Amino acid sequence: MIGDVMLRTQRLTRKFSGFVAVNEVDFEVRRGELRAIIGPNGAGKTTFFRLLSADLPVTSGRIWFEGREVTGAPAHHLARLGVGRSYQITNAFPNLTIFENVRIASQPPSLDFKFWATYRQPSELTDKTNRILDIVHLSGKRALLASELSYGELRRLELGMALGTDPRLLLLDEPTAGMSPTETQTTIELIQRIAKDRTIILVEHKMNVVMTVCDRISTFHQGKILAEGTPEEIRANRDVQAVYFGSR
Amino acid sequence: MRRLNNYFIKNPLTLFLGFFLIFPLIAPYYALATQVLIFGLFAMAFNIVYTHSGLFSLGHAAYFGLGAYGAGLILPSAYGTGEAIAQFKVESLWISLVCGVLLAGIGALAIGALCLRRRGIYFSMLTLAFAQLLYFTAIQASPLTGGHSGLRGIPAFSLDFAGLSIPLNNPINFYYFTLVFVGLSLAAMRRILGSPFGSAIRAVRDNESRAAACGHDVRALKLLAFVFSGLFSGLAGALNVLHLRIASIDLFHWSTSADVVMMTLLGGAGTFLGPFVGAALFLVLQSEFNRITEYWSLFIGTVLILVVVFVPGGVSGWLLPRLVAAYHGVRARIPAQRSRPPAARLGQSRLLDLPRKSDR
Repeated sequence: MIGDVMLRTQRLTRKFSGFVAVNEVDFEVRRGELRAIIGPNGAGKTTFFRLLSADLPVTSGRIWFEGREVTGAPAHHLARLGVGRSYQITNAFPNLTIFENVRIASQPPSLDFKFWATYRQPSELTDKTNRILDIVHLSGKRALLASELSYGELRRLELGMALGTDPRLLLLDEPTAGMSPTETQTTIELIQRIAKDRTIILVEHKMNVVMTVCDRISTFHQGKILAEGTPEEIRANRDVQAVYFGSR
Repeated sequence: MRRLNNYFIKNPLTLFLGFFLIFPLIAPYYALATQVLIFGLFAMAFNIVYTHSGLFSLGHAAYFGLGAYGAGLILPSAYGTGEAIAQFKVESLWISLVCGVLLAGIGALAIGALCLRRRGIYFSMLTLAFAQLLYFTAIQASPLTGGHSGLRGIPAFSLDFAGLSIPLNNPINFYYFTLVFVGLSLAAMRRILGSPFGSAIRAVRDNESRAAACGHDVRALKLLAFVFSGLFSGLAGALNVLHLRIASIDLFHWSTSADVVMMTLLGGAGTFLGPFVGAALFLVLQSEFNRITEYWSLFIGTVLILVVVFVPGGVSGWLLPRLVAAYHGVRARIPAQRSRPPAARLGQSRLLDLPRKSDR
């Protein structure tokens, strides 16, 4: 199931006016993997994510996706190559309906400049949008504006929008942040379902989530990768314990 | 009956056309009715960038003026000016209109490409700066543009078909001539804003980085919206110069940009025809106050402040949900959240917010 190298970084670095948030990180993810990135607050996880999705320009270092170098490529270009992402702070289109939110995420960019076209009903795009709304259990809320959703619903919309771009590699930034245990459980099942035919990297704080769903874990600390391995290896790793619990 | 009402709500253009077919009968004078159409089109064009793209342009006078001068310069009898390009002049109504629209479109493409490199207040200031640049250029290039006195003596045309000749210097004829163009433009705008492009541009307005993460080319989408806005503004400007038969330097002045912002806010940016309603109100109020006092702008300013403070959705944003409720005979609670136009929040807060680092 685990295949060739899908994403690779080499000495990836990001500085914010002197502060090194991500420090020469060499990182590799194989096709079909479900990888977690963990680490204490401020370890550089989200910055690393933003570099991978070209949300932030890199200071130095290189990134390859499916064998092609994508360092410095614009965000929309990367999305078209097959890198999708969700956001830690919910980040939808607040004044569009739920249906439109997912549809615009699913809309192929080749349609963007067809200003004389109309949306045909039904069409492949509408079918796909409806399918995604079903997967994330939001079909009943399709006519609401994104700004009218509850927090848990917004998080699911977030996932639905990430799926809209048909990503082969999906970057999920704390998909269960702020969720109740029940909502967390639903989201875990959702992620496992999505992971069947996709490669996923997720940033997560909740150790039970990470330990149950992931194939491998990378631990970040002070902008560097401290340890990498299976959940069992990470659990047993003394350095990781030191960082997380301050004990040795 | 209900089916008929639903039809009008879904097709506001039919209502628009019905009203403006009889509008000259109730307007104080024909020329004012035509001005309402022209500035209504201009305000609608401005709203493409303001509400639908979330870009607060403070320099839309540039495209209105370019449309006007483009249409005027190509005509031969604009006397005293344009000797430099005498051999290129053509006496044709249609070529004049096309030139105006094209010049405005090219201007919007060039200026938009530069201004859209910045966001928020910086974008607004850049658009204003470019508009003022064109204003002073038009003054300085007086051999071509007539400087302060503008292009004068634009010829009057008549429409000839099927053996009939309809003189356009008759105000009522020109009104209906304008109505055809404005009606077609509004239908085109509605189609464009309802297309996949319209959807994409609203997504960009709501959340630029997310739209990019979904694979949409943010910069190109914004530029295309800006060019569309420029083209329609240019058409309004060209119609204006053919109507008044003079291209005045004031068209380029920043106050023209300010007027179109006021019209849009007055009428309501969040409804499709809101800016048109605003333009009509603005011009009628202007003409009425003008009879009473030369300080008419003081009164319009007061009205605008009252509207912005008490009905931030503008006149049509306030009226429309109530009309719909009245039609259906329901005392429906008007959903405050949704009747508030997104643009009123977006556009205004963009200007009032402290500049963010990412804007630069």
